Amino acid sequence: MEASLAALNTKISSLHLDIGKSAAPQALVIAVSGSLDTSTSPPFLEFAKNALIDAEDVGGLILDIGAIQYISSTGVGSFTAILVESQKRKLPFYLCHVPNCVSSVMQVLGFQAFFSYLESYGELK
Amino acid sequence: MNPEVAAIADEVSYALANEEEDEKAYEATILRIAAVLGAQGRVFIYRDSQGDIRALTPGQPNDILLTDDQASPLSRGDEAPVFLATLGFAFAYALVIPVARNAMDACFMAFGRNDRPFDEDNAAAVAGLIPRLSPLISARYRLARSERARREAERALKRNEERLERLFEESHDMIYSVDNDDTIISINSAGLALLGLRENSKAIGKEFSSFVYTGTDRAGLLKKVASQGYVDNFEIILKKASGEPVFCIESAYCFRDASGKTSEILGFIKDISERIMQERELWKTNMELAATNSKLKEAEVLMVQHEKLASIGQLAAGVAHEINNPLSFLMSNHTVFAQFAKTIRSAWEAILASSPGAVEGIKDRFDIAYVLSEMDTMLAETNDGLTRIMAIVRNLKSFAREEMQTTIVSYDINKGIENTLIVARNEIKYVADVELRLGELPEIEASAGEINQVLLNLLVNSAQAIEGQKRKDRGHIVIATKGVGDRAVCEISDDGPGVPDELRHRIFDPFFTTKGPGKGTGLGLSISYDLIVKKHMGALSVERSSLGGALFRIELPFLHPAVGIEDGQDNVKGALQEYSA
Repeated sequence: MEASLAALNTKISSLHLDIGKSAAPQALVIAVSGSLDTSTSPPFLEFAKNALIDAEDVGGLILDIGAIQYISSTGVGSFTAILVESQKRKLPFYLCHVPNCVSSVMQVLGFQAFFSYLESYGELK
Repeated sequence: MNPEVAAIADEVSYALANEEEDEKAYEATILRIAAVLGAQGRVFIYRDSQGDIRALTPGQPNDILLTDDQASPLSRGDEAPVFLATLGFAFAYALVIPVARNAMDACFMAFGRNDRPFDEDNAAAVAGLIPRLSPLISARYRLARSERARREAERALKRNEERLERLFEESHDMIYSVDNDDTIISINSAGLALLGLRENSKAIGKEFSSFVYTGTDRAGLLKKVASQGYVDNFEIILKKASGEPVFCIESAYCFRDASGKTSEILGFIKDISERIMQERELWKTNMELAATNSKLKEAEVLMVQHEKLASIGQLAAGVAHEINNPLSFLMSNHTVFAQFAKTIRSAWEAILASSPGAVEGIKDRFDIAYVLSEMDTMLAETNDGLTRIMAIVRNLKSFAREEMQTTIVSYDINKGIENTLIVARNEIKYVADVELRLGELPEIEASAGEINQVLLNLLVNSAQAIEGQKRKDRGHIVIATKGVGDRAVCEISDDGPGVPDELRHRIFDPFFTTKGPGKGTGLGLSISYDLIVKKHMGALSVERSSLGGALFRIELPFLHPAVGIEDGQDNVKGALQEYSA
């Protein structure tokens, strides 16, 4: 996963991903920063779906989106796809540190109620 | 040379010496020539860059395009008046002087008059001036060409402006421009419609960001445009005057001034709400399907559990029934055997009293005193054991029978609690002690099996919550009953972790659970709520317990307000009257 992460970060300049396993013991953390738009969402989604496999060993997946500066509807769509995939795997999936630019789009789309949110990783303990 | 012509030649020389090779010098010279010739009209004819022949007359604002046929008489002097007539000059006589050089093919000056023909002297005088006039004619020729090019450029510009104006106004997409401060300079009708505005003045002069749902998105777009000069297909949510959001996609281009600073941004915005709403429906459906699938799987697990429980209940009832028969005769035999033992003891004591010496040896040999003493103990213990077995069997039969009862009957809630505790004992006994504070209550009208199910849910929940604390000491569960007004109240409280305030309003929701995977389905409290509130017209609530954990309160009306009693109504009413008294 680290190799594909490095490749993705090299390929896409407007999006950056980081993985933190120790940040929250009960979940795999993917920290997302930059723009999640029409061009960056597909590779992000592919990476996140693969990460769900690793997350099964830990117990859950946290998307830390605190550093996202811009998100399009396609970006939110990628979150819904991860949610669906996580439910298929019966894996808890959380959005953490949700910024206003993301919550606004989710609110307009009416998707806020579908997701579980964390203010901090510690809430999982 | 004619003195007047010589004077003109000097004038031309002066104009040339003073570099007056312009239209003014040309006109002045030609006017002088025309005056000397007594001409009443004059024309300048030239071939333009496209090869077309054009005539330039002083009275006409635009030059006149001539066909080759129209221009052909130019080369035939005698037909010059015919040619001039095609330009609207009705002269009886004409003088056409070819002034063309190599670079000015088909360039002529034509003069017309009516009083007398032009003579050879006239022609010779003008022809003599040609070499000197040539620079001025060249200048006039160039001016004519540039003038035409300018007019054509202006016409082309105007056509372009009209096209752009039409494109701007008739576009179905928003077209707008803003200045360096993001203040709107122009916006088309489609843009006003997209923003829900009727008047241009409601947009012009306003900051564009005031019409954008997320301000940071607009800032991001401006930053991108400033850095790379343009942005393509940037999704943005606009805000209508009514506040309604509209999903759009924008392409924008930056115009810079000489210093490289952004002077204007031109943007094109397309409404893509319909497409986004279609995608939204698809995403939403997928999420709902996934959630439904997940719940179906949970429900399946629950149904299997219920089925297992039902099977266990039936098995327990069957076993209880099977045990009950041999237990009956065991108990019966035991009772008789105890009486026989008592008889044997009495007989032995009588023998000892009548002839103690005769049985002294037997007494010592068989240790009769010890046997009789132990027999009493063993009979007492057997009696105790059998009594306990009978109680368990009776309770099992009672619980299993009540489980199957869904009709409203006379129900003793205190008895129901005791029966439920027997069933829940295994869940509770290792983690907590139970304290009963049961008040005196009449029998109420209720579905015994369903109330027992609620009590079981709440007790097991308490035990699991305490167990989940991984504490070293044992927990404490208190079950209290009392009558309040026309209701029986049962409170189950514990010293477990309790229910967080923020979750209190959700715990009765279907599928809501705080238990770990595999521990809870989130249906127990939901079903309990349904049974107490909807089926029995009672109340089920949760609050913080004085013990530190949760307190669940069940309130049940003594008399069921909606459902008639099929069994024992009079008994309940009678008991209630006694209780009230």
